[in-house]
Amino acid sequence: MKDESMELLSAFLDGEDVDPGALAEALTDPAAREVLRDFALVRSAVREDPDRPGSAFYARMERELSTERPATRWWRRVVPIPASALAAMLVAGVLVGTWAVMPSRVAPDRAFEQPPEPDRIVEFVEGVDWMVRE
Amino acid sequence: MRHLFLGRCRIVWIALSTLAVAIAGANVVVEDPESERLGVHLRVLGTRFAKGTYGSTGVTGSGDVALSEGESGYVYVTVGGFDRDGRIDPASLCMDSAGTPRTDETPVAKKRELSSRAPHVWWAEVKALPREIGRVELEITWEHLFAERSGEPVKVAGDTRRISVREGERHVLDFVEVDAVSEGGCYRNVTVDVTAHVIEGPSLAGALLRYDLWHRHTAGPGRRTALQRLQMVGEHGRAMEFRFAPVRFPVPGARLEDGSEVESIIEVSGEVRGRIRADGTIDVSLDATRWVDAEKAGSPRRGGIGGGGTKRFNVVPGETVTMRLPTPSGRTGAGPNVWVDNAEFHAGAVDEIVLTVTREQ
Repeated sequence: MKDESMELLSAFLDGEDVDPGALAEALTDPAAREVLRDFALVRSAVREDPDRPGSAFYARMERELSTERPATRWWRRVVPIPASALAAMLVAGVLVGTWAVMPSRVAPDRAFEQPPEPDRIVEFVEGVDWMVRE
Repeated sequence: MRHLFLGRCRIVWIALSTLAVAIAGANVVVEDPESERLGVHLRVLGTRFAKGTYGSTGVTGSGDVALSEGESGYVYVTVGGFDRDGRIDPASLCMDSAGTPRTDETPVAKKRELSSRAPHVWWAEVKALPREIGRVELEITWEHLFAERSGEPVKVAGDTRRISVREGERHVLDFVEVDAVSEGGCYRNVTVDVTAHVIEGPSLAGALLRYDLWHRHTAGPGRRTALQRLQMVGEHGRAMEFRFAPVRFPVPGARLEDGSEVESIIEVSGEVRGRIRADGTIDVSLDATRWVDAEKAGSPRRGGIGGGGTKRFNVVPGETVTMRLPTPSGRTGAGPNVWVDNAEFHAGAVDEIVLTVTREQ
């Protein structure tokens, strides 16, 4: 069964408004019966569970929900990508960079950086401090 | 009055001369406990020989002394022994000893004592001279005393010489081939050499330096510029070898007999050593080598024309120094009748090594 059909059945069971046509189509699926049965069993189990959150829980939730939500991190606004994906991309980038500057791998035309501007330039002079040998 | 003036001058001159001689004679050096020193080693290398077969040559003894700049000291090594009758014992040539005399021993007394115990005594007075980073400058007065009978030495070799070598390099003073060797096996010959290394000041011992090295080959018109980078971290004072990948350029129109194309190859390598000074600056020594060769396209460099040199300078941490290499010269052959004139082919090209040294925390 499609995920959308399952979500539609779940919403219908929760009393939400659903598209009748889509509901009718979802119910034609042979698996719909089993899905509805499972949802009903879960709901029944939850209702029979005597454990309920205490007043402290509700008070804390009230405080949490009433405070202003933190602003979305800037990089999430700029790049709407999950943090894990961003971290993976960052690691991949570092690895690629390391590979690119490894001496045994470097192809001269692959270099992507420039050396810093020199504070000083000195020259080797042939016959003075540079000797040639064959 | 003039006589009196000359007299005063003479007195001052004599006083200063006496003071200078006294200082020199006492070998007084104002020593900073934080400053680096030079460890000098007088070594014996023996070549093993047993049952008619030669073995390896290795260091068997070393007399070591640590000297500040301008300071001198004594070191010795001995080889062999005497029998009970005080005659040279060929069977005991394996024995050797090495060291420095105690402060309460005079050189004359110590040499006499050594010659009563060993037929071969090498004795040296070593003075550490001012040096640049990466180099060792020594003045050595040495002698080889040989005694056929205990306590009767004869000087058979020796001189006073100034030695200038790179840190860690060795200089041979003497070589002795020994005729008689016992069946038990021992040295067939011994070499006596001297080597030295810098003992870093305790406050900087183990300090690390980061070397950021670039090789930039700015080619002539119509060719690409090659850029490579190496980063290394090493103990200050220790030489770090580096080697950049070969840079290859097709040589237009050059073909070998089998139709293969020809490439001109430039390969840069070397060694860099930095040493932190007390004021926080860094002395740097960089030895650069460049090979220029022509080979069949895709083949490794097999020879060529090499060139090399050393630059020494002092930098503030983080300061960048660019070292320009001379234009390649000579001509290299890739095969029969296939030559590349390096100066012509690489006209306008520039090879540079760019170095930035920083302290690694």
